[in-house]
Amino acid sequence: MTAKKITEFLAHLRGAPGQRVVLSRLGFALATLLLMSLITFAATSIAPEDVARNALGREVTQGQVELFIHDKGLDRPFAVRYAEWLAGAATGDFGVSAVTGRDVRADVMPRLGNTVVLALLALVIGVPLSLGVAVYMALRMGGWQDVSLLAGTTVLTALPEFVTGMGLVLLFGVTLGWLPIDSTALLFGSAFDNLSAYVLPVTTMVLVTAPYTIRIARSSICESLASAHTRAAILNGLSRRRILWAYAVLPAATPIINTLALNLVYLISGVVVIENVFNFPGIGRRLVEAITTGDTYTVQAVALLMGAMFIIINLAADLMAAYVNPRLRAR
Amino acid sequence: MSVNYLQGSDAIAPGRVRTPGLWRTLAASGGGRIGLGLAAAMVAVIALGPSMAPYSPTQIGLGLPNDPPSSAFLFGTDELGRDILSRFLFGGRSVVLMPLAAVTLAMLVGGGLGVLGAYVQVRPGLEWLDRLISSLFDLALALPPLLLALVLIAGFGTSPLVMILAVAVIFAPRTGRILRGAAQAVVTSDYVAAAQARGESVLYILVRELLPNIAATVIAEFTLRMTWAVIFVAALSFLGLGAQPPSSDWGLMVAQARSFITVSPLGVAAPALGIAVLSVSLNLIADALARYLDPASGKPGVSL
Repeated sequence: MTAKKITEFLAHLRGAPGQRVVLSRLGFALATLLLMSLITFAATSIAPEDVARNALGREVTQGQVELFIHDKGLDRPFAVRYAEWLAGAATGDFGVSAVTGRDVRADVMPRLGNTVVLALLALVIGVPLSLGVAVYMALRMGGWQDVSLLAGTTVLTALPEFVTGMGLVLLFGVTLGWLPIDSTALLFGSAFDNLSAYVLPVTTMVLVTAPYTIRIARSSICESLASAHTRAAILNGLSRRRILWAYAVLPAATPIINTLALNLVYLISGVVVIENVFNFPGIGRRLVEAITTGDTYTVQAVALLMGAMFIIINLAADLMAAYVNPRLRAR
Repeated sequence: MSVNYLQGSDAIAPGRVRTPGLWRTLAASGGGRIGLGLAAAMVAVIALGPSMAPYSPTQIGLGLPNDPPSSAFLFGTDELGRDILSRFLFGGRSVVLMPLAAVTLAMLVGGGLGVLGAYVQVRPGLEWLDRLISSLFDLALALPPLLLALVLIAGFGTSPLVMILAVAVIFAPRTGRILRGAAQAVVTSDYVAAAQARGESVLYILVRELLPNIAATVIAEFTLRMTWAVIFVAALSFLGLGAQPPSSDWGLMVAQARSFITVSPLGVAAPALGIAVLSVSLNLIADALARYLDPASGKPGVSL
């Protein structure tokens, strides 16, 4: 084989530029996930004594602690325990919580369902709303509606999630009394209770994520509205709807999609705080509960689960950005 | 190549900070003015509050539990009979000081590494150090920030110190990348080459030659990082993972008063409003500073 053929063969192995990007991003995501699992496991169980004391409480003898450590196999080398834990985690086995005495997976799964519903509702309501508001503002650029909405989004972007959430609770729960002040009804309430338990958390999520999307989308749409080809389309007498869609919104798709992906990534961490504002029975609330009660196995399970979701969504967002913007594909 | 040693833009004394027109730009924009005004008001409340508080913030049983506002207790009392107004007036300090500590630490470590990375780019044989630092940053940036903080707190215990360190760990690579980028633009300058030729130490070049010339970026980055840190730290305190009882930290105060929100709503409203005004003011200042650095931009920040 000549040198040229070898280079061609190697290039073939590496795949087309597009494939190469997908593969390298996939590899990076896997490495990140592995790192996250290592940090999670190392931080929470590098000291077997702490794990034992967390599980057993304060009133135990040194003998009981040592028995627990030996019983759970915590006296084996760190690498062995990590490998075993990772293998278990890969098959969905996170052990039995020493604090609650329940199987961690059976405990976490229903809560994961609640969280996913919450995030999806926020997305389904938030995305069309943000885009609608952005188009409305762009069409009235500089007018009082645009300026006051812009000021509103500036304030909302700056607020911590729990302040926004508490503001809504104070307004709709305490002052007006229209909605329940927390979401605990999800655990035992009727269908109507369940529905109303979602309203404030979903509203909070939308109010936290939408302002950023609105600002980015508004400025991209303003830019494409002001361009020469939009003016040409107006002069050509195209319909208002067609101009809006084909000349203003579609060309602004790339930054908007990037922003939406950012939002999705954000929702993963946003749920932690927002679920705690409303005592919403999701995995974010469970994670904080587990940290406060020293429930090591549950912390590990939820952290790994949320970390995996974060990294997968990040990967999807990256690939989507590469798909809509060919310039990123070349890298 | 000829250099005008008297008038060239590089010809400033080492160690002199250059941020021409920074205050003027800040005061010129409406948002910047409002931000500065609100921030000044909040600093006054937070700094003078403790000396104006009528009672001790931690004294239990001053009044009846969850007493409504009265002339003795202007904001009412909380579930332990403590004065809500006094707790509010004391509770602002940690809301500012804990993020300040975290951001300072992040900027010293992360920013230091970033500027060092930029500098070794012009030191033949040391380029690998820059690549190492950059890859470390990239890897750290791929991790979910809030989750990383929660995991570190779960592992090392719930205390303000652990939380500050966790937040610093999360912010360090972010700050590092920004400052590395800013320093990259000035490492090729003649004054750096001159300092090298004089045989100055690496530390001297980083602190006296590079730092003053990226001062505007450092100030803007510091403000931006502070706005995020205030939100992040307040959220962690709200989750019970930062400030610990009996502290009257605003985030913790909101969380504790949450259970009694229907009987004494002011226990939630007062500290929540304090945090809201503080973070809005910091955000407005950060936005105005970003416009100073890059007049074409005006990008709003997103936290977490």
